[in-house]
Amino acid sequence: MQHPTSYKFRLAYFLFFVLVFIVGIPILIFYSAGYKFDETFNLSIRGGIYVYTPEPNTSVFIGNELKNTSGFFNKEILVGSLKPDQYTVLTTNEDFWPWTKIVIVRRGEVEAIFPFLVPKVVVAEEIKANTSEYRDILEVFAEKSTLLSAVNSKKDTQTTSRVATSSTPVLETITRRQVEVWLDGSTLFARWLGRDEAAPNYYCHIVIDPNNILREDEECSDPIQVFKSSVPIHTFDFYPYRDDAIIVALDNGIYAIESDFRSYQNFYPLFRGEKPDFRVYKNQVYVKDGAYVAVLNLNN
Amino acid sequence: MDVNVPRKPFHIGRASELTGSDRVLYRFFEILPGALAWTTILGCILLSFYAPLYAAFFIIAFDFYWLLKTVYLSTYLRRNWKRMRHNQALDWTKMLENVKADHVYHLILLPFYKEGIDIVEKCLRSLEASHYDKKRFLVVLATEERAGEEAQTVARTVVEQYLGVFGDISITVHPKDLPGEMAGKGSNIAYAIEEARKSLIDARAIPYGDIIVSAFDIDTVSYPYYFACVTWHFLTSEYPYRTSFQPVPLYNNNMWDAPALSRVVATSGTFWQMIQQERPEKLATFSSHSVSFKALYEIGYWQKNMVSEDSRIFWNAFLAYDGDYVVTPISYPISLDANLAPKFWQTVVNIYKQQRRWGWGVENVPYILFGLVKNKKIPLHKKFRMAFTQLEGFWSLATNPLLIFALSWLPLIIGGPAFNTTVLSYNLPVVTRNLMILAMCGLVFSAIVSMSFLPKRPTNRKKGSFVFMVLQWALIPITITIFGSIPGLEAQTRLMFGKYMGFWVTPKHQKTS
Repeated sequence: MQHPTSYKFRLAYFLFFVLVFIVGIPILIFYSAGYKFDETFNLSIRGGIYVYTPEPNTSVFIGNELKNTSGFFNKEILVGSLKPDQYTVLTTNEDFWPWTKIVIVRRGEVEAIFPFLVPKVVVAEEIKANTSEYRDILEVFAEKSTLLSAVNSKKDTQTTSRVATSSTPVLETITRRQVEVWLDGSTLFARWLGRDEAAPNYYCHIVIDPNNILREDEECSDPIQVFKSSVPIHTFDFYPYRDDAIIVALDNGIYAIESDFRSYQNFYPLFRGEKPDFRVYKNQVYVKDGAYVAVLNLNN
Repeated sequence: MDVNVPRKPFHIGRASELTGSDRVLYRFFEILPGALAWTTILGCILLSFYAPLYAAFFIIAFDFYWLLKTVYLSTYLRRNWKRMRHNQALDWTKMLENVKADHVYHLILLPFYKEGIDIVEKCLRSLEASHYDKKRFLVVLATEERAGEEAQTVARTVVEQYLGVFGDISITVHPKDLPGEMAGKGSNIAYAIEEARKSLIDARAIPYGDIIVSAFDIDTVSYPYYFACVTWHFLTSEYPYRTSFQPVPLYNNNMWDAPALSRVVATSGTFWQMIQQERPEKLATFSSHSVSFKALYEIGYWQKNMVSEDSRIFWNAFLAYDGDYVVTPISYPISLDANLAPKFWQTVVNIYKQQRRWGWGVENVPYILFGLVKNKKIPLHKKFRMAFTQLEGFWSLATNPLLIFALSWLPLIIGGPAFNTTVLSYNLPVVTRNLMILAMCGLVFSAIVSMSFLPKRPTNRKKGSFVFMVLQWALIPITITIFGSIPGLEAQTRLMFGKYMGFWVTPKHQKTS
């Protein structure tokens, strides 16, 4: 005949767990908040970099050191325990152009970055003339260009007019989610329309203070200059699914450029032609160069 | 221990049965459990919104507490499992040879509503198969008038079959709509036991102190040595009239037929009872159990005006005997039915309703707290321990799974962009996930223990069915939230707002192969 667990044992066992809890909690909380011991055993708060890589097999390097490679399921890479400092992030993928950015890691904060990956070879799939699709796309192109088009067009991006600040009397503005982009002369500007605390860093005037845990007293609503062209910009629109990258049609080609103008601002060719134009329609990029019409495959 | 006649039975069901300041106090205690649960949940939501940093700290601390609690409790589960297997292997009739047991009678109450004849027969067959002198069994089939003539026919048919097998087998018919009563098991067995006292016990002049009463659910299947085991504990107990004898309820009568959801919920209930068996001072009577007739008679039997009569009878005794009343965990099993209805969704609904009814055990909290305030003889430390155990238990039931599985993401969702850039916000899901994975490792042990309870595999079940009996434990996060936390919270909210619940009879259904 066995008896239930003795009270003495239970009390000792309970107190042991209380002790584990008391000791474990500060360790867990400090660890979770980003505290680490440095080489001299001083406790210091660290930061991190979060990289979202939509394409599998993308390698993430921080300061020339490979940190991780994304897979089909793990598209999020978090590099923690980084000392507050400036880091060069590089993403590479054999099918896409390398993407690099210098980011600042601050105490207790994670810098989230979403690499703008553009295929090295953008295949233009021609749409044959005299097909219904061809006629539909021509209709889209027949609408005024981005620079002149009106609200409620067939295009994905909402377009409005704004008062000029310089030489052009009426400027066209495109808006996606919380971002507004417009062209003034041959310079593209962008502005954050949302709450300051939700703004990507490059929209904000931040005094870089690595000791700041949270951003405060920032101004993130002033326009930023995204791109200044030496040749005329004929058409511009948001890159499909993104509000941080713009497609522009210049004289001899179509290019994609990210809004983040900090070093390095990544700039990629999408299509070369005589005098090509483009439209973003149903999250596809259609190009037209003379009678030639094609859809760009940006997913590789 | 004081063994004099107890104080007057205190059979309050709800605040409205009291007047003046007593009514206000009782009502306050009715509100308390729900208020604690909702304060925790709303507090978490508000904290996540206004101070997500502190909400995240709280969540991490709480998850760590949960992990330690899981490890801590699983130790008791393992110890009780070992003890129960040991007790099952014992020959309790031989154990009884060392004590004088010939004078002990067993009054077995089988409350019966509209269950099928097969369920009643199964229960009686198990009594017949007991390794005990059946002439010392006084079996009472406690029927309900409100169940109609068909139920009476079933009762008569069964009783005729078993005439002569036991010392006595009889039927009581609980009249419907008696004043001051709530329809349910409590009022039925309270009526039945008083009828039995007059017609069986007094008629045979059996001393009240020689009778052990087993109040079973009708689907209870007793194991062969159950009555010998209870008798041994009764006879060797220092204070046999100040204790109830609690077996471990295994819901394995129909384990091979019940869906995985039902099996996990039912077995989780078994595990909780096993854990409590190792911590007797936290144990109250539950479901089918045994108790001396003398104690029952002195405290006025079961309450007739409330739902959770199985646990309330312990608290009735505890308060009536000024805190000198305990539960003796016998670590010997009895079998009951897991929830099973002809259709899956009906089973799901029944599981929820049954869990809500068990969650309605929270109606004991105001009764206990009120009784502890009013009783000046119970030592203060005992009062605090009892009050804390009850409040913490019901608070945990209603809030812990919600905090773990539903609210732990809140700071990330409503904490705002400033919080979402912090290292803490990125580490929160990783740390909580890892803590939960560690906690869930305990499920492997749960699966092993549950397999040991499985009855023999029926011939119509494939060997591969065992795999599902293991994999089913992955459902735990769902079951403890949807069939633990939410019905518990609903019951507490009802009590808080004075929307009192009635007795809901769990439908018993058994598949025929």
